[in-house]
Amino acid sequence: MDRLIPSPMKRRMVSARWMTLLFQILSLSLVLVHQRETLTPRSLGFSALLIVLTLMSQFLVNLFHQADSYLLMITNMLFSIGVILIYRLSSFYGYRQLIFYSLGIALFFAAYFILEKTADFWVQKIYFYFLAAAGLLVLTLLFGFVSGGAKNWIEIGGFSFQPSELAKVPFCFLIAGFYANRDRMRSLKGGKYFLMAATYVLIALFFLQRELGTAMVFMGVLFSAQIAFEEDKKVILLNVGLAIIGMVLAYFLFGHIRTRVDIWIDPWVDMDGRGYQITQSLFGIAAGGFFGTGIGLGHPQYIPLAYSDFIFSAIAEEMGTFMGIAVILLFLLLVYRGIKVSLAQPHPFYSVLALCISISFAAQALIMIGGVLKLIPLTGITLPFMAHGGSSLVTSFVLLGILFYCSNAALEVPDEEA
Amino acid sequence: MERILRIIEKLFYTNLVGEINLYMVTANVFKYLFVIIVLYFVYTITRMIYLDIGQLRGVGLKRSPYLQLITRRENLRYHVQNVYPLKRDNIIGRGRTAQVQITSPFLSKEHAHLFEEEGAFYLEDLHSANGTLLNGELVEEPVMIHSKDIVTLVDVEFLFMTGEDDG
Repeated sequence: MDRLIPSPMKRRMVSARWMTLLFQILSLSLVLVHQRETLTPRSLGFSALLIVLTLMSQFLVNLFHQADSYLLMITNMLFSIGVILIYRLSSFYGYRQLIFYSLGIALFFAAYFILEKTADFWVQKIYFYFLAAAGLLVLTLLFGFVSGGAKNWIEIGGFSFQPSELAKVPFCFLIAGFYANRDRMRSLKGGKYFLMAATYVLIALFFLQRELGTAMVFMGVLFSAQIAFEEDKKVILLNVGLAIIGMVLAYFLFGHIRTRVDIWIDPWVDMDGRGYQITQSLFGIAAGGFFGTGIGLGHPQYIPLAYSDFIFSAIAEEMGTFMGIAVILLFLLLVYRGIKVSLAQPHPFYSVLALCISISFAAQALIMIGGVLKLIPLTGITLPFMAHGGSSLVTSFVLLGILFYCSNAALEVPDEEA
Repeated sequence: MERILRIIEKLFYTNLVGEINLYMVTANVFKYLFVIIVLYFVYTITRMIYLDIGQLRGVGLKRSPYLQLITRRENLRYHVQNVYPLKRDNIIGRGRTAQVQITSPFLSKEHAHLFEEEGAFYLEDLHSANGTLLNGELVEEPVMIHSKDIVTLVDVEFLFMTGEDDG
């Protein structure tokens, strides 16, 4: 555990922090020259704010001796790569992303402190989490508006956001609550199927919104949690069976899912129409080669939504396949850290919670990177910490803050479990 | 601002040879740097994780001082680690900023201070409510602490190890 950091490790920690700073300074100077038409005091402020926020958050995180400071170090690097490419594509989206980042960092620490003050409050409220997640999705169905092919946006007082992103938080809590109170749930009639039933209800709501990506993330999180914590193998088999039947049914019932699969199998037949996004993404990645074209010298603007859904293709084009591999490695490290947090955490609720959060990051990265590389059918979700999108970035940082709290080695374990 | 912009424009976007300008040269040099920096970052983190896992197994502890738990963990109602590696300067207590944090309700936030000075280790009580014992004696002012001395913090006991002579 990272309780006391021996000196060789501390040196490396400092050097890793310097790497982030060096990367930010070099890439920012390059991007500022490239975006010289929009070079105003504001863009210099943007650069300064990015560097200050990163340094400050990393400094603050090191004050928590008990918790895992790598988590934020890795995500800060991921965010830096992402935001610099977004700024290179459009300074407007770059500013927005940075504002959401500052909000995200604030909520990261807020999540830690709220959980610290109310650690035991959260353990029992299983039904509340289900209602919260379902409520968010029903709200979108009733009041949402359509953007980018999915009805998953909602507007309150001039701010629009995606409740489906926020729903990840109660969903992770729901699974953690279920497995932390396993014995109590099992004693209820049909109690051991409650989690599966609840997840299927949420997934059905996603299908109504045509939001398939997040449904896949939820499924992945449920499945991983079952493999890790479910003692009854029948439940897992039932889940696999239902998932396969569900996928086949969905393919034949919904036209838009058939379209997605058709594009995935052969995007080249309809290159200017339905296959446009994915073929442009593949052209972009191919144009980059191993080391990329260099920032500002490629044409990632030809890739539709290069700043959000297709950010990975834009990175691979301008910074190269090697940078793409580095991004995947960073995600791997993040997820590895999360799973280690889960294994080291003696408190059952926070242990399950840590696993669910790590898997949700992993599933999102896998679905999105696999999607833009045409390895799996493409669905429109965001690459956590990198893609432009306020709801997604803020939710990711809240989840990271919760994971950060879970990494606290000194949590008190409830008596009956000890 | 206008002038700076013009200088930048001139400096970076004047063709040096044929169609090649300074911006293209810089961007091309930097793209290798970026890959190297980020992969080096991945390398450092991986090394740290490796050291971290070693620490979990107790590897790498041998050469540095640590506190070894003696009290049976089952008798304690709060979480205590078996081993606490020590730095040059350690606060032992209940508070979050303590280097050796033990969430015992009997400890003060900053309970005791264990530090190294000129190669020797000293234990000091930080005016804690319930006091600190070294080999059964109440610590009143900083006292030198030797390997295999027993530190008692109310109901939990540790063996202090300098980690140099023991195998």
